[in-house]
Amino acid sequence: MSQIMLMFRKEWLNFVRGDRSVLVVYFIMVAGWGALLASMNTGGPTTAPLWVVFFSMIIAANFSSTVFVLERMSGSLEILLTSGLSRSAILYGKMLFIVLMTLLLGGACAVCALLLRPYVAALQRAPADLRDLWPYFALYAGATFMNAASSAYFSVWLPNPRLLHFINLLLLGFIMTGYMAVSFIHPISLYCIAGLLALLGVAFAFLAKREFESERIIKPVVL
Amino acid sequence: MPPVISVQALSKSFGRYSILEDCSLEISEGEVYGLVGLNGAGKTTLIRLLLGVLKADRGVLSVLGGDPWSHDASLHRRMGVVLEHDGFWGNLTFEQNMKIFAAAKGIAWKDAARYMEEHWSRTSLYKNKKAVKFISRGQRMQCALCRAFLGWPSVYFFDEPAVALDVDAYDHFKNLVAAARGRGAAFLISSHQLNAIDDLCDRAGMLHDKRLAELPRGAGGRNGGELWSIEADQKAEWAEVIKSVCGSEPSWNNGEWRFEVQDSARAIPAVIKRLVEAGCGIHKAAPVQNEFSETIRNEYRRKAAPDSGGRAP
Repeated sequence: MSQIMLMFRKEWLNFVRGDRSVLVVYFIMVAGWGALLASMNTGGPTTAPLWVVFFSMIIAANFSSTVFVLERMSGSLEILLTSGLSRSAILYGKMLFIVLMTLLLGGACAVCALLLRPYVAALQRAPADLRDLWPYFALYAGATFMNAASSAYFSVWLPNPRLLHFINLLLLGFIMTGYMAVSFIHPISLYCIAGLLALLGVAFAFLAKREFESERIIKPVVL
Repeated sequence: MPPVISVQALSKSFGRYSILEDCSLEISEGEVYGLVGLNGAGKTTLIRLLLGVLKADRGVLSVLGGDPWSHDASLHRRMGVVLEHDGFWGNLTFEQNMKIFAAAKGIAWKDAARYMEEHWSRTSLYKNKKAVKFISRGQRMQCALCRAFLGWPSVYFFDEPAVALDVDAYDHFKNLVAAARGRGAAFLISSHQLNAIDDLCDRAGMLHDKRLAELPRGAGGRNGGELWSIEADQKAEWAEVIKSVCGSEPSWNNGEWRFEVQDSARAIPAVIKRLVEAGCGIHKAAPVQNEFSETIRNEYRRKAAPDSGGRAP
């Protein structure tokens, strides 16, 4: 566990000491998406789950670019593999960072939405209180975990790891299209789809571990 | 005493491309082994196999008694590594990077700080507060060396460790290698810088045509003769004199003539006599000893010859 936390700490330091303009972008994103969330109709069979999953995808993708893709492309991953940290600790530490940061930013969007709610017009169908948001939190968390795990897997499996966001987007697109199609016939709880995403995340984490223990992890990157 | 690094009949290929075939190597405690070879010969592949980031197709590898491919993190904590990429995170300072690597190796920061104070306080790295991405290539190489020697590991794998080092930094590196050898550490150093191989290594091997061949130290010229050097002026006629006596074409290198002789007991007094008679001022005449570089150059030339099937260096 201490090794996972060390990996997390490394990613955190790299993030906070990185380009400050990224923080400004995040601030604008949180405010903008908070306003969008505040005005969203969450009352019935709507596109709201799609938005939630999309938010998760965009934020997680941004972190996984640095955490997995850049690390592999810059060559620092090879040194990390020989640093004395176990490969599992490297993988899980990186995933933990992506999940926690995406949840943190998603949570900030939710808080922003709640703060903006009184000021946004046409909110009659907005969530009555925080409890109505729980299924969305679950969905967001499930999608985030799946994104982090699939990013870990595809960052090694793909010859060009920069394509991983397209793959993630396609994957989530398929899942959410399936969800919308099925829920059109018979309503499905958002908790179910969150659970499905989490299960897929576990499967991807397993596959990612196998990739991290293979020699493909240092295979030259195709650009 | 079992060898620190043991490789028996190692083979490795990537798809259809065979890189290493039937390579064997043993490096003992306190020994420094130089690995040379043309670009693409497989030096980095061999190092990656020994580090356990690549898996051998055939053969037996052992580093510190363990299998590198076992992904045993405790084995990596006993290794010092410098690879093509320095592996530092550019946004972090050198000290922040070192704190992470020290923790990864299970070394308390106070011990790591003491090591840095003792061995790196006179360098520009010490307490440098710049992010690593803002420091020079040579300084980054020093950072990588500082990380490699952290905790005084038992075995070191260096891929081009002397690249971009200035004179002081190179001397410092040599002192660290000597100190680690004193502690019984073994080294595998891959480099194209032949002076570094000469300076640091007890033994050297050349990778060529997928195979690893041990190189004798100071084994002489390409025709199997002994190599000699004569410190004298650079005048074309001295080259003619040397050639006429010894039968080999001399080369001018760092203020001295280097040439190959088959019978040094007879040829050297004769060549000195002829040079003095011709008016050449000789400062020193000595056999070229303890150098791999001449052997390596000869091997490169020999393998690049059309009938050897090699390619030009």
